[in-house]
Amino acid sequence: MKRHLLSAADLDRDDALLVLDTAAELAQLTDRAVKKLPTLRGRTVVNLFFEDSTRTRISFEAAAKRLSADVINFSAKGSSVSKGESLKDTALTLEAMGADAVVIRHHASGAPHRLAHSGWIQGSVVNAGDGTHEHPTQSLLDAFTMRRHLAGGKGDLEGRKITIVGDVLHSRVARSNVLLLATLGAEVTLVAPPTLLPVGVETWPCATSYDFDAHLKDADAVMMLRVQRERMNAAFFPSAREYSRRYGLDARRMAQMPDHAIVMHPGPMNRGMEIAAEVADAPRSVIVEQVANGVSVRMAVLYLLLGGATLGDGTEA
Amino acid sequence: MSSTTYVIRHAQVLGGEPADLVLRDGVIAEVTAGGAASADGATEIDATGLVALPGLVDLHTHLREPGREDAETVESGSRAAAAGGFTAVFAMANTDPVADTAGTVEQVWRLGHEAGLVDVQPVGAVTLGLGGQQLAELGAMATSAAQVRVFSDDGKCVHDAVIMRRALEYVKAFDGVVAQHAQEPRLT
Ligand SMILES: [Zn+2]
Repeated sequence: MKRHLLSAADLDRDDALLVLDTAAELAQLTDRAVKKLPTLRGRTVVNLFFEDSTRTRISFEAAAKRLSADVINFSAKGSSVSKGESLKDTALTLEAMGADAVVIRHHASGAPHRLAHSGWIQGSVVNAGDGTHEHPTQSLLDAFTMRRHLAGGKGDLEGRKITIVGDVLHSRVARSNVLLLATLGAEVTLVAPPTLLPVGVETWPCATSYDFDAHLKDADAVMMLRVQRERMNAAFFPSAREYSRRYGLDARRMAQMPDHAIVMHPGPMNRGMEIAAEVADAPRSVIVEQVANGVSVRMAVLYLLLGGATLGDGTEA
Repeated sequence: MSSTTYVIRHAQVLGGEPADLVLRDGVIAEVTAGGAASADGATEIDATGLVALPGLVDLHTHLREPGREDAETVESGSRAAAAGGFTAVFAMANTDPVADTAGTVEQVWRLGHEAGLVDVQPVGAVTLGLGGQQLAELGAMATSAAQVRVFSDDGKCVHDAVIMRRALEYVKAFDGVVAQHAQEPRLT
């Protein structure tokens, strides 16, 4: 593995499987009432969040703590960052505090890359979501969840058909998922109104479609993306009603999915918008499990980046 | 009607030499030299001196219904169209109410269907109430019984470039077309 995790594309197939296998092992250990492992004792993990995301921050915090790391939460709100301190100055401060890993969430696409490659800090950088760019640990937890349900918890996702629906344009989750799932051999179809597909999506390793109904019957997993109602004001779609009718997952559409197929959502959900409440709460919905798997996967990432074992030569490609 | 056979005699097809057109089951079955087609049980129509053309399509009509039935109705507009050789007309959306919902376009489509003279294809408004501010439910109109594929705010013009871009992208999902009255309201 590389020293940083900035993009799902940083992981080749072996790296990705190593993370997933490690996560499975760690999940087993923490299931066995061993809530805390001593692996990262004395190491410092900084959660550097320039954008509010309680869910992601808590997940990384729980992961680091279960590995006995010291955790510093650095939120941009109320800090000197909001008074205009630059990313560089913040990074130098963290470096002085001896951060072994910096988990960064930033509203600007590319901020984690800048943090990792400007020589400001020595530690590993983990991208916890940057702008509309990437969210690699989300894609890892999604793949982990799919593998559990669709591949017996082992190996890759060769030939599995994954339908990802919604606001792809603004979604770092979609981008990271397409990259990682392609690496793992899955066949991804992105479904969205044309207004919510990014320019250049035809170069991504996936198919695209405007027709949700055409991609239900053969789907092994259907992943719904959050759609913000504010997008309507920017004319990406006419109304919430039309959006749900064309691109929402309701009971009628869910009934067309194969029996084994699962429903996923990275959260937080807009119930009644992209996903009907009865679908979100259906037995085949694994949305709550995704949250639990997020901790295991983030433990694995921190463990592999910091803990040592099978880290490769530590150089950047 | 479709089981009947017609022979149209001495029509100048696209203005060419006079010819006979044999229409069987609603389609042109045969074209012969003028006067050569067998009339065997067919209804004959003498078209000497007349030109035969394919059915014309008018992409821009105002049938005024609903709302201004005193000026025109779908039925009267259909009749005028058929008399002029048009087999399909597209009815612009500036009715009252505006044709910006599935309900209104279906109403216009059904009126055309009931008149039964030409294909009446409602044009859907691009924006709500032709207001230029918010996209109308283009997808709902496209999947309605009217199967709308052409959208336009006609004389109101979609003058917001962002709305226009979104509309052009959005209609790709159902092979739609946006027809623009190309006028910049701030300049005219
Ligand atoms: Zn007009």
